[in-house]
Amino acid sequence: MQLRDSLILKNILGMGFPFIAMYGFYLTAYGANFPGGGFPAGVVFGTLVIVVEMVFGHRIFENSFYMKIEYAGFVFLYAALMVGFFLTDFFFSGLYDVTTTSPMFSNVFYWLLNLAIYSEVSGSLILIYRSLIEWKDDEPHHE
Amino acid sequence: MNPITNDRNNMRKFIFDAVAAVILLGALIYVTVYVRGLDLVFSDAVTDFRSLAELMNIENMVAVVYLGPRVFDTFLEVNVVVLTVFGMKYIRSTS
Repeated sequence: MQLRDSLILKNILGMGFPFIAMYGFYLTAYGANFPGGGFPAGVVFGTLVIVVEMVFGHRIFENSFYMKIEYAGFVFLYAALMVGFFLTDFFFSGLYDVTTTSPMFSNVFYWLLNLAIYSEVSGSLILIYRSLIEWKDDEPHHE
Repeated sequence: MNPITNDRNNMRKFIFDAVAAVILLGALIYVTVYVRGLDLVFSDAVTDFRSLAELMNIENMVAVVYLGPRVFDTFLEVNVVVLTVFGMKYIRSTS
């Protein structure tokens, strides 16, 4: 029996997908004031997509989509590095003092950093998984 | 394989092994002779993370350290993940 044959897994994943995806985003959004952060949130979402693809047997999005997500996070991190340097002569500095009273955006720069790390880690995780799967499929099977 | 190429590969392997052995030996001598007598001194200038958290309006102390003073660690960790993706693509393209 394979994973894709299990009705229980399919139903649970089908119903739980939006909630788990939202939980991943919650970990990112409230990472500054509650347990969480960009890295674990990216792992949650990336793992969710991987499990869904394993169970349902089809891709949710193509590789190019996750590549764009990954690059977006990567470019933002480098942009934050350089903008901080140009503003204050220190990398990553200069934007930390933008604060609000909202628990979600209590520090806007932290929120953006978490979002960048979230998108970068989730995209990378899915791409690494797919590379391994495609690599395995490329290999000749020895009987 | 061509015998000349085989000899070259053996020579390169020998040079690599010799350099690695010299580096490891040097590291071993450094650790056993020089580092042994050093005293560990902890700095008194401990950053006040609580005031930093209040300044940044953040309650999660882990996040304060993770994206504050140690943001470069985080940045390099993320770069490692990106490098893994590029490494996988490179190995797949060459194999």
